Amino acid sequence: MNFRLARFAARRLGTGLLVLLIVSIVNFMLLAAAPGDAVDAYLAETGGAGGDAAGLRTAWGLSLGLWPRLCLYLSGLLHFDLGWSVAFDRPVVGLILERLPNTLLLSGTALAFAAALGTSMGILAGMRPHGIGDGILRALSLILSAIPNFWLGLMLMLLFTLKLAWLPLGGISSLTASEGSLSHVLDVAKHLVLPVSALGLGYAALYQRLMRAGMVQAAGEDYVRTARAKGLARRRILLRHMARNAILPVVTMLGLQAGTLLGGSVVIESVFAIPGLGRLAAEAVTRRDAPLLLGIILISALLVILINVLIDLVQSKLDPRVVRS
Amino acid sequence: MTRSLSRRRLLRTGTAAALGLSLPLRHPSAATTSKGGILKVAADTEPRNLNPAIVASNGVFFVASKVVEPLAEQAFAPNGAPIGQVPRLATGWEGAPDGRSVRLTLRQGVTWHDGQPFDSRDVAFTALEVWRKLQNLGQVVFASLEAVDTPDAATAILRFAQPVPFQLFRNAMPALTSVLPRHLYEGGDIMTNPANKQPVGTGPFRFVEHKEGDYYRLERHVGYWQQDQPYLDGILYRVLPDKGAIAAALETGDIDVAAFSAVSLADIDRLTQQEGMQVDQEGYEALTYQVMIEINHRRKELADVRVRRAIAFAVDRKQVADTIFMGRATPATGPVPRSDAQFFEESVPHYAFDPAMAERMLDEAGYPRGADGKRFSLSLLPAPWFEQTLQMGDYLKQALARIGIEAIITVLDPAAHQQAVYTDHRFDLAIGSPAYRNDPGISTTILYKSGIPAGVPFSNQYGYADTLMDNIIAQAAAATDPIMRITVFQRFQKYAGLQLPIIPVVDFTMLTTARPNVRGIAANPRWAVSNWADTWLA
Amino acid sequence: MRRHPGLIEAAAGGAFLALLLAMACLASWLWPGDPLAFVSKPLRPPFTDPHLPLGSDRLGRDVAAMLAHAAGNTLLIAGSATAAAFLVGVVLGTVAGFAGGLLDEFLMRIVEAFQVIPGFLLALALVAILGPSLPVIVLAIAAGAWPAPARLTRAEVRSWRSREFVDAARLLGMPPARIAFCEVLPNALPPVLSLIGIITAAAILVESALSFLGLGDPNRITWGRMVADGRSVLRSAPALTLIPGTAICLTVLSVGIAGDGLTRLLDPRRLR
Repeated sequence: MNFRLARFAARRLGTGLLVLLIVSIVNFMLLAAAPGDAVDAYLAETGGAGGDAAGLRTAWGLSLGLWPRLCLYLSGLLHFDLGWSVAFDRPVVGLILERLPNTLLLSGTALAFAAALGTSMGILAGMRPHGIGDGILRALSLILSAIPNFWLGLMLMLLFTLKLAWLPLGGISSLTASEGSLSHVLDVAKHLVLPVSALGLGYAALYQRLMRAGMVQAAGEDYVRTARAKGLARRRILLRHMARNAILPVVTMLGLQAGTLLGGSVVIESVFAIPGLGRLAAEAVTRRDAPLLLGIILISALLVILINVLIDLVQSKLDPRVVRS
Repeated sequence: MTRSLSRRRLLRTGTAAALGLSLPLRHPSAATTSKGGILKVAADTEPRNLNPAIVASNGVFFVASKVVEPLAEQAFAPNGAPIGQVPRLATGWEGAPDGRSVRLTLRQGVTWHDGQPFDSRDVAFTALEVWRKLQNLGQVVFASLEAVDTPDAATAILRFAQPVPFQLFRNAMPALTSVLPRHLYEGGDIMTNPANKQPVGTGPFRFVEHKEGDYYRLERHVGYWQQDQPYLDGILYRVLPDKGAIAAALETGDIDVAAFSAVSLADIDRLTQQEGMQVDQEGYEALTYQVMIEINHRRKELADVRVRRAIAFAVDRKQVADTIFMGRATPATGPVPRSDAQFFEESVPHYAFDPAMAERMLDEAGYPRGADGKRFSLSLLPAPWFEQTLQMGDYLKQALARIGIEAIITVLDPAAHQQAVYTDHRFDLAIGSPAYRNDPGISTTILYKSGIPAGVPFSNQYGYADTLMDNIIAQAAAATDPIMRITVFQRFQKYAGLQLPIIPVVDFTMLTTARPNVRGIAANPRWAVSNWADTWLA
Repeated sequence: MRRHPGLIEAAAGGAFLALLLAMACLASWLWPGDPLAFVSKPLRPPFTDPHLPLGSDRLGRDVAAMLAHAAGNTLLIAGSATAAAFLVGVVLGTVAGFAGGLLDEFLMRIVEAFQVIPGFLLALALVAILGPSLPVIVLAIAAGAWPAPARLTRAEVRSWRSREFVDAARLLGMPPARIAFCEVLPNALPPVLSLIGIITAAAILVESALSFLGLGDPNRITWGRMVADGRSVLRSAPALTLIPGTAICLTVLSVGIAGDGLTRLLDPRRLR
């Protein structure tokens, strides 16, 4: 079983690498298509200070042809070198690694929040399908999934920060508490409430619908009928039998949505001024930092691949049939 | 607003004492200042290079001017006019009558933040290696700098191959002469020196750290040459890219000061009335911007001065000032803003809003309206530097539509915009916002002079070439007599108004919004980009 | 109601969309001229002036006019992006599913590559690099949306390609491309079309987020751009953010439920 699992994981990683190669090539093509290069961007920012354009171009390896540059780019990737950020004048990798924790914290918390809220609402709704509670939850979930997350963020900010002054405005912490202390943790948590809600509520709505559908389907399955016939407690049937099966599609969806979640964090981090990967991407756009933007895309893709491998492993634990298929 | 204006006038005329201590004093006296505290400031951009000697721009100065000092700072003259310089690293300056040398007397007993002593060799090194060769503005003003003599540690003599008007040099000192530590820069590649990001200077604050996307932290420099200053323990710049967020952060007290109009103009009234915030339009007298319609003369229609005048007549400058700037801008009449009392010339051709006249001129120029009501179509590239330059693009599109000219807007990111306008000339009209820097010789004539190679940003890349204009500019560059120089610049403004190679729309300065307890927020005409040694928290 | 669950909702969603479409068509008749024109004093509150029913924005532009004109732009962009995503997705999905083998393997890796790149980041990069114009924005949105119809089409085509009628067509000497697109695809398409609602809704959201970040076409007004403009005066004039945001919500909601209804109507189990 373990050996099989390892082979399964290795095979998934293998195709993942192939996908990553395609992503890198797509990336490079976008980079090459960008009008105006890093030198133009640099001179724009300094107002023309800092020397001649041709010299800088040679120094930054931008005067080579397309193929040598692709080879350089790919070989750089092998050494985990994603290139040089124009806007920050630093290696892209360092910048990304610095901002990654904030984004992982934000999107991880949002995902956990969405999964917890969504599945429990889904169980509630699935307990009595077509009842009043189900109707209300269904309407709620339809509305929630229609709200653009940036707008939800602004509205939450308007209400909870500007009108009620309950929660901080933005940023990831107030810089007052020393890192690692309990007050710092609480401070960060307070800063996360609004962005996590803005990012997570839409996903919660989706998970609620999936979970409900799964519950309704499970209710008609033989094993549930058998359990009922055996006289098992209702709660036990709901949680042990129905929910356990209904959650499988939710887990699959978690993996599929890792990417959209990272995309959503671009906007949310911009709204709440959180120094994460998403805002870095928005900055890369306004400061014409193509290497940085494409580095972020590559790392996000890598992250999504890893998450999906992980999800596959989790699923194979929940449902051994996955490995065999 | 008007309240604080009159306050400063009162202070200047010496009646402040009679009004007691309830006023937010701009020039603190020993009895009223309190020391200590961290000033929290909103920063809306994070420049990649923090070296003010290389990149002389307000974005860099905003942080770096507290760390790296220039030779002199701009100061209010006793009568309230924003002229005159006060010593920083230089205590005296004297120009030779022939304009070929400037003798600087330097402050003694000054140390760099790393403990090394400052002397004339630092000035000589920075002038020759940085201002002249690398700096965006210095490449123009210091182009003919030949040598710097350092007879002793406290004297530096700048020698020029061509005469440089001493007036120009004086006016250039605050922005163009930040001094770098020679011992950290000499011998290596200046552009890649780590001190460009971790600046080391002689200023009242020491650079501690920059956490990208988050904050910059400066700390009081204990050994600052000005006894008892700075008053603050430190400055924390919080990176907040959104105007709405900055206004809210001021309200919640997350920040104390937002400079450079970082708060939306629409929020200003509410902030002053409901929250008791101070709003100050002063402290920017030497930092005026102009919204400018840039014109590509390579386009046949626009090469015709009648068409350019028609465009000028089609723009309602007052409406632009009232809506886009919500009344906090002045209609511009020429390339020198009204705020510069030294050089401003009133009697230039005026183009009062008159769309009917504009239409007549276009008809006369041979561009009648076609069957679809359009005369011709132009591309319009508003610069992304400010919210207002983009909004001006929207306005101009409509103003031109009214007189039968179609404009199609393209908004590019800063780099692409710069390349399109100043290198590739891929535009018909553009909206720019050049900063006026105290003297038309520093940043204005370059917008009118011909023969500048493609790729020099913020210069005449408009394809405009006029012999008389070039002659006037050459005369001004050689005029060592200050009165004569002013006269030449008056001619320059009149001729620019007649020719309209580019069309100035409004002059605008920025605003500072601060919480009620911040003191000294407009102490000099370049306050936002000065050293803040005398700013304090009550 | 029981017999046709979703029908009522689908009708309601469709009705709202029809209304929106009507508004978009009538906008240039009700509010002629450029909706971005500065027509009044800035920041007039809504419901105070019959000529400006929804007030004016920071630059004195008519909010109602912008809202109506934006409806057309939003529907145009989202509709085109969805159409483009389906076109690419269905063609590639059919080819991959019908051909099988290495070609299938190769195409599916490309689909996967586009699936692991966060769609919004890809859109951001495309617009940033190619410049914000209508075709680029449509392309950018479609680039993140086509993998879903591609995968579903492939799966459906695979389940249909070993049926008897396909073998029969082969024996008759029909060229494979024709079998794939004329015989197999029409059968495989209905479940794929049920994705229309989800993809259109997502396209509207992506478009509004791009506009919100300032990456929309500057010559066109969209709801996302109105939210972005309103954001800087969120505290002083919340209506400027509230109104266009509500418009986005209602539109996405009606697209969502109309699509939901469509899915149920197309559900093969119901068609039996």
